[in-house]
Amino acid sequence: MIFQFHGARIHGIQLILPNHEISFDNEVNNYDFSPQQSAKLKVVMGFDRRRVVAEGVTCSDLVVAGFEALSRDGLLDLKSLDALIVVTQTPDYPIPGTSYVIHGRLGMRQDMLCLDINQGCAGFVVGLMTAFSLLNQAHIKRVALVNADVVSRLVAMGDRNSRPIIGDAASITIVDATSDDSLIHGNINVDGTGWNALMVPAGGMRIRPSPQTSILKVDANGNSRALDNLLMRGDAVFNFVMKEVPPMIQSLLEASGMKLTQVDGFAFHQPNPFMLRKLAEKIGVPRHKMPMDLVRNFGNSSGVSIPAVLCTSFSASYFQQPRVMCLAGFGVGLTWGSLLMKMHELSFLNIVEI
Amino acid sequence: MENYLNTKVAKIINSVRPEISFNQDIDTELFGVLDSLDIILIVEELEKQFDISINANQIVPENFASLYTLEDFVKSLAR
Repeated sequence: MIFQFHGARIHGIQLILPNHEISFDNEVNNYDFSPQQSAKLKVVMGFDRRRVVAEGVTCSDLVVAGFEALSRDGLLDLKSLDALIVVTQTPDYPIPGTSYVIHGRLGMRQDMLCLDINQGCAGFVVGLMTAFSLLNQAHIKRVALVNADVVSRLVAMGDRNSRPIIGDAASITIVDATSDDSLIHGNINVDGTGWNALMVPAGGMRIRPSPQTSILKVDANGNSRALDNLLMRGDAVFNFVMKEVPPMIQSLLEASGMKLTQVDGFAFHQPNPFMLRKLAEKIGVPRHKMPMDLVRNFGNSSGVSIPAVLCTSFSASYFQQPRVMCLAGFGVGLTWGSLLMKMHELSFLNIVEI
Repeated sequence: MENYLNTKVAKIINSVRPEISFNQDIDTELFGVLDSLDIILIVEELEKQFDISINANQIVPENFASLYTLEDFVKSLAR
């Protein structure tokens, strides 16, 4: 489905990273990789360093610290926010939504909208589209889009396919109404028949958590996990991404009337460097325009990965002149979405560590 | 050339999964033996050592089903 938006712009982005870093070298004994495999996986898959929260730390802890830092540094007046969108798959509680927890902890205005969206790797694209739509309302001039996930707390210790790449992070993206009428192009697609390609089987209403759901079982590939843990069917996800993402970018470009060469930067979700390299080859994107090393340095932080790439691989000075950026997210759902938009003069593009 | 290719592909597989043994003149099943991480590492090595580019669409079970199918696949790209 094709979307068009106008009258909206990204004002600033803040990335919040937990300061606790885990090295693959230090946890390699959790898996049954040979020394040769480990060495190769570090290079090819980016199994290296990742940031994770300490036990008990939640999304709202990261986000509240991020908002407090923005406020303390004079970059954001919390009272200026008209809406708060929180995109997460790892809420503090099943009920209420994490947006309300954040709203309450920060004492935000009462006359504003709080909205929670359960999305993962496409969560930044879905969240931005929602923010752009809200800005059509006369009384909504500024939206805070929060992406946050602490998926490391759901990944089994012996899950050799997922655990070495999973990181935790949060981001706060301030989106403003603007008189600049330049068009933002977007598209979103869903294939719900793939809902079980990325999931946590237990913990919802279908399978309640119990001692049985925490029992570890080893699959055919040697991954040890329980029903309480994240389950990622890597082959299915890889095939879906390679099949669907390149034509999505093609149709986005066609809808916008732009050529691939006119795009300055590609900030894509960061599953792993191998998949990104294959995607870039298939789409025809030069390597220098698509950062691929988030997983290697910080881990795959699901819906936070796109703002994380913007904050770690680009700089505020890069956006002093207007840049045409292609953002793309793909994963849980299965969902794949993208945006083509000009980004210009960001007030902040920060990283805070807590 | 045939033997050289055979040895080289088998060696690449062994560099990722040393415990897989290959027999002279008998194909070796890889389907269900290699997992997705193994395949990724093998693709990376094949590309490097044969100076070929393996398209994402070609990373499918049919091409990685056995030593012989993988050799045939590499031969088709190396031509």
